[in-house]
Amino acid sequence: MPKILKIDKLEKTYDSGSKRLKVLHDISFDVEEGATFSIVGPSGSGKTTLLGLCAGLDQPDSGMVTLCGQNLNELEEDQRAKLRNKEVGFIFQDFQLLPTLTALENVIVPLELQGIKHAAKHGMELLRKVGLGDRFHHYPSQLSGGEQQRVALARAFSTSPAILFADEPTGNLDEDTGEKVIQLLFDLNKEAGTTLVIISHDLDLANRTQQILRLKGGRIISNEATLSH
Amino acid sequence: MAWRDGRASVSRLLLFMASIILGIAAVVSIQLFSENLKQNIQRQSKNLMGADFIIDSRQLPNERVQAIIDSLGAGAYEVNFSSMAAFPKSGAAKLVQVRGMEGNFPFYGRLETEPVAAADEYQAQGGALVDATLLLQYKLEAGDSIKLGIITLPIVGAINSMPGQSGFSSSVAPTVLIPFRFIAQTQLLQLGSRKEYQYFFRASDDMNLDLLEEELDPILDAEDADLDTHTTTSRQIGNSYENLGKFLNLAAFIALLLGCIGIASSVHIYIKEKLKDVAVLKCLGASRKQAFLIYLIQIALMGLIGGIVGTALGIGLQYALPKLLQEFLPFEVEISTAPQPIIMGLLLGVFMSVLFALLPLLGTWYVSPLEVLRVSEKPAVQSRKTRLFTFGTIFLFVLLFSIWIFKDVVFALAFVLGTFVTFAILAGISALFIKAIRKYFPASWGFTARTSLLNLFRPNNQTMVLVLAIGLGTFLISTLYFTKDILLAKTSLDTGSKNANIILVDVQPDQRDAVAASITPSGLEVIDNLSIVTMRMHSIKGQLANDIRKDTTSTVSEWVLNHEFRTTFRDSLIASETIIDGKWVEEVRPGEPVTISISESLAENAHVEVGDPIVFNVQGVLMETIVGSIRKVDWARLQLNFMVVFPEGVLEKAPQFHILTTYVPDDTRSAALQQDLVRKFPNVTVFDLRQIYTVIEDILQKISWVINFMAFQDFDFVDMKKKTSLKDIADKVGVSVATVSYVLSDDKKHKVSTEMAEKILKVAKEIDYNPNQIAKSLKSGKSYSIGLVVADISNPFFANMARIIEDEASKYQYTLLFCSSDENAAKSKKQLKFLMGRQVDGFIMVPTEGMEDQIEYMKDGNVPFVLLDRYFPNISCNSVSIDNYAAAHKAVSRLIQTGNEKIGIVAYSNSLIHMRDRVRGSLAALEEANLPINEKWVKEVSFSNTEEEVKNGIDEILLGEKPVSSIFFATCTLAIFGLKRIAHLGLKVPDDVAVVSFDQSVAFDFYYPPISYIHQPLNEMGKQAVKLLMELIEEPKKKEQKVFLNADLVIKGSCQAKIASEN
Ligand SMILES: Nc1ncnc2c1ncn2[C@@H]1O[C@H](COP(=O)(O)OP(=O)(O)O)[C@@H](O)[C@H]1O
Ligand SMILES: [Mg+2]
Repeated sequence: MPKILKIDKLEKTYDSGSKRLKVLHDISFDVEEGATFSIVGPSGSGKTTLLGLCAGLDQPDSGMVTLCGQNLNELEEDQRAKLRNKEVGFIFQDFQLLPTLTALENVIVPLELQGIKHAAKHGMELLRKVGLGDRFHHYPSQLSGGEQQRVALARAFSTSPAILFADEPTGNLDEDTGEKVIQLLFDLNKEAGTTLVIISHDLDLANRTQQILRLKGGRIISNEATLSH
Repeated sequence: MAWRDGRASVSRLLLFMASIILGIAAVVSIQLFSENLKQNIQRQSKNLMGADFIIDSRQLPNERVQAIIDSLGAGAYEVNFSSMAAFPKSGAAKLVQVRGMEGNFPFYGRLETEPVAAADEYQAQGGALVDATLLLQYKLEAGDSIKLGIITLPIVGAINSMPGQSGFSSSVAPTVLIPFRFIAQTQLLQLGSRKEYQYFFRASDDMNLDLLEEELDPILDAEDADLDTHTTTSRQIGNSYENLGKFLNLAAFIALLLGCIGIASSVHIYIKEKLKDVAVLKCLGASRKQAFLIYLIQIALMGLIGGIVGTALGIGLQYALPKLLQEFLPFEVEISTAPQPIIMGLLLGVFMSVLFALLPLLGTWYVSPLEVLRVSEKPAVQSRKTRLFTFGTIFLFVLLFSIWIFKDVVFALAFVLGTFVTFAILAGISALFIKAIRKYFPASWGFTARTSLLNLFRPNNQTMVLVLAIGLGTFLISTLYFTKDILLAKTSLDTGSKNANIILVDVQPDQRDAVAASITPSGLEVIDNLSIVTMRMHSIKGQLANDIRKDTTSTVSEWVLNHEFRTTFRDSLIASETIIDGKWVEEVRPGEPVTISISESLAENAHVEVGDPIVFNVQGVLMETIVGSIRKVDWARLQLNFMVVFPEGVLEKAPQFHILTTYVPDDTRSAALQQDLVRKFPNVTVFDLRQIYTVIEDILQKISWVINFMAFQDFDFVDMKKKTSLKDIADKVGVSVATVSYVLSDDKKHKVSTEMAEKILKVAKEIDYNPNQIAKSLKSGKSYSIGLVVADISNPFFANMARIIEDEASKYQYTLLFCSSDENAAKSKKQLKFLMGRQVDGFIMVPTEGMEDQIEYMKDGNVPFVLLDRYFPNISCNSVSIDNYAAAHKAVSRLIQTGNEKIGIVAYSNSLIHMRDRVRGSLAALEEANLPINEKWVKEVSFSNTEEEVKNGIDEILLGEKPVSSIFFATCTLAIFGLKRIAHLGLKVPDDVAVVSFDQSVAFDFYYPPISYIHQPLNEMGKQAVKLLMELIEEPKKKEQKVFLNADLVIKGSCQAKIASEN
């Protein structure tokens, strides 16, 4: 299987005041196209930092990220944004919907950024798929956490991305709602063949993916396939 | 997308919108207003001139000039010259200025004549219009005739004023206006006689007069003709308008800058909030440009909306303001809407919002998508270059805009630099402040204090923005405020001093003292008293005038050689003069060379410089002189200015005549003076310049009004502002209001220690407490008018009173302005304000209930006033009234004496002392006679519903269980309503009911038997009131006097003894 994401010897250090804090040490791993992949580890172990680097939101001190065949180090900020727009979907712990846009408008933001004009129909379809067919014109503040996360999900899939990053997608949701969201996530993965990279400290969730990467103190302590597949 | 995002944030951007809207509204309305004002002033100057422009020439225009005149299409023309006119009726003859007019002049303003129709009819009737003063002097009137040359014309009317009469600067002779067609018949115009042709033009709207002047003037000059436009006239009116324009623009600009500060700070806050969303967008794949544009478009759109709303508001303000402020407006502003300010308003909305939002907006460019994952402490780094670039653009914009608005590069640069320096200083201070807190953080403070302090410099603090916005705003507003005072000082310069408005010419040396002596006794002052010696130029720089005339290459202007110079001699410069070259010589001793001073224009036209010799022919005697100095003369100043001025010690013995000037306040005084002078000195010519002054003073007044208005000056003279400031001082010093009042009112100062008094005065000065400014504004020049406020001028009592006061005041040369307060304090307050606006010198007023505060205020402001008929027992001020208590006592006692025991009293229910005294006096009379006092017999009625309530009251006391046998009415109005009802009920006076009234009414004559009444000594009251007021006007701090006069009871048939009438 071709690798959609290749990480090679990543290092990342943060400056905080006078202290230098090395957050990631020598990280290398690959993710196969269409796979489901999870990164687990205790809080502060560097998971979010790693995700940021994988998606090209941030730049490493050294090492290389290859996303969809592109070496991110070689891309400009706007080129990386373009790549994200076309190939990458995001789900965040705190949803990150734009508060000034309605559910439907939020969903089609990535499409509009591509310059696609009549995206509303597609957006409605996606919202119906996540069970929000009657909430098109509501603002995020009028939606519950689970509903907001489902809008975020619809948004993440609106451009049919090749890979989807989810940072603690159920972190802010209760168990039942979280489960529903997760189920949707996996369904969409199955339907569209989107690669899933899920960050979680929830081992049960991680166990439903095909591969688990364990982080601790910024180092990989294991990277192995799960039994479920 | 940009729109969608913005839509939901409109409420967030309220400050932003408000800033734009207010900024733009201010700019648009001020620009429009200034445009309107300019037009108003232009209209005024057009009225002064009567036409848009005039071409004049000393001879019949030659072909080239005629061609220009024809191409421009003159609407009217005239020839004017000086000539003797004879009046067959009296046999008198007089030098006049004949104006032969063809066409319908003036185009602007009015030819004001008496009778009014004469202005329109003299052309058709073939008659003459003659200067009103001249007619007055010779006791002539319409219907008499005037002989000009060899023809005699009927006088159709008197000219009161006429546009285009620049009388005082050109020839000084009264005008006689006749149709042009008679000029030839008079045979007065001979070849070589001195005359002037004037061609009057109307300009189309799109005609650029300045350009016209620039192009035509040199051509016409070469042909000895001249072009005058109304813009020249308005320039001559003074540079006051220019100042006003600058001030208006400054105000507009500052309003705009304040708007910009609002924009910058609100966008700054707004964008900071939005950075998280920008990060999300970038995370989802928005490029930097996309993210930036989303917000840029949003801001621009809102700017546009703000621009539209602001412009609309600005236009609306234009229409609303004059309506709202009608009461204060000394003139009518005609409103029109020019397109330029509107277009500018719209563009400005977008441009200024984008520009001032740019810096915070750039933040979106640099925000990292990583911020989605966490808020970083460090703000996104912006490159130095872009920051500098943005600041540079802003600076450039502000500079360019201010150059455009001020039309003065240096001034604009200075202003903008000043603003930016202030900006830098403020930024520096707040940065230092933040640093200082960080460094010396008071860790020992309590939680609340620490946290609030922390917020000043922790992430996302707004310290800098706030300090900048508030500081810069304060700076700008104070600039505006201080500029106002400077400008006002400039503008009022001319109105403050008294300009002569009556000029007496041809006063012979032996008449000089006698003429002065007939001016001063009537209370007028002699402003100028000048000697005039007439002369012509004999030679210039050694070349004879005759030779120069023949010399075709000479550039010396023809008129210089022909002109009869009226020169004077004195040892000092006057206000309208400044030396620009050479040295002013005060006096020359015999044997020394005669050094004279000439005006700049004469120097140019005669081509002479300091040191050049000129020989004058002084009525046959040649006098050698040397040009000692050249003066710049401000001819626009309404003073007697001279082209040639001699030092003292030369011309004293030369044949001369004199000019005296004085200032008269009004028509009646002017006429009186003129009649007096003409009778005593028939050869003296009198010129009345008041017409011209009125126009100019009018304009200046308008300008200072506008300046005040723009600088938010409080016009409300008679409000309670002062009360609070007295209290403010008291609070500040820590003493009682009374103490402050003692010190400030000067008279009881000794009651307070010196240190305390000094302290109070110091504080008073600090907070700018100045009640005297009212008095000053009243005092700046006497208007010889008095404001009279009575309760109701249609009430016979007050009507009589007003008439008496009017007659009495006229003995002091004063006229009256009346108002009726309708017993309404608010209304009378307004009237006082109005009267003050009319510059009355003082007030006589019949106060109403609730006016105490106002009276106190006027008293503190040293406004001269006398209360009449009523007074307030708690306020010590000048008043004239009768002893109401005694009078009422007298009236009721009479009723008792004539056998009445049941006596009804009808009075007004107000708390004014005179009314209370009347009621108390009548009750006391009853009590002293041991008669019962029945409350039901005392009827007190309101002023607003008098008739109805009197009617009901009469019914009750006459038809009730215990009917009264007589009634005392506390005023004649009450008596009239009462008598009306009594008659209606079929009751007879005095048989059924005896009546005594306070005050007499003409209506009483229609009753039989006539009504007895308390006779108030109206004559004496009016006289006393006027006398007191006159004393006060002369000496505002004069000790108060309360004058009480006695009133008599006039017994008529309405209260005959019961026994007698029964017999
Ligand atoms: N901007 C930053 N500056 C300094 N330290 C940071 C910054 N972001 C993250 N860190 C540190 O890096 C470490 C890893 O953080 P993170 O990747 O968020 O861990 P996780 O997502 O596994 O909880 C933490 O110790 C955190 O404190
Ligand atoms: Mg994390």
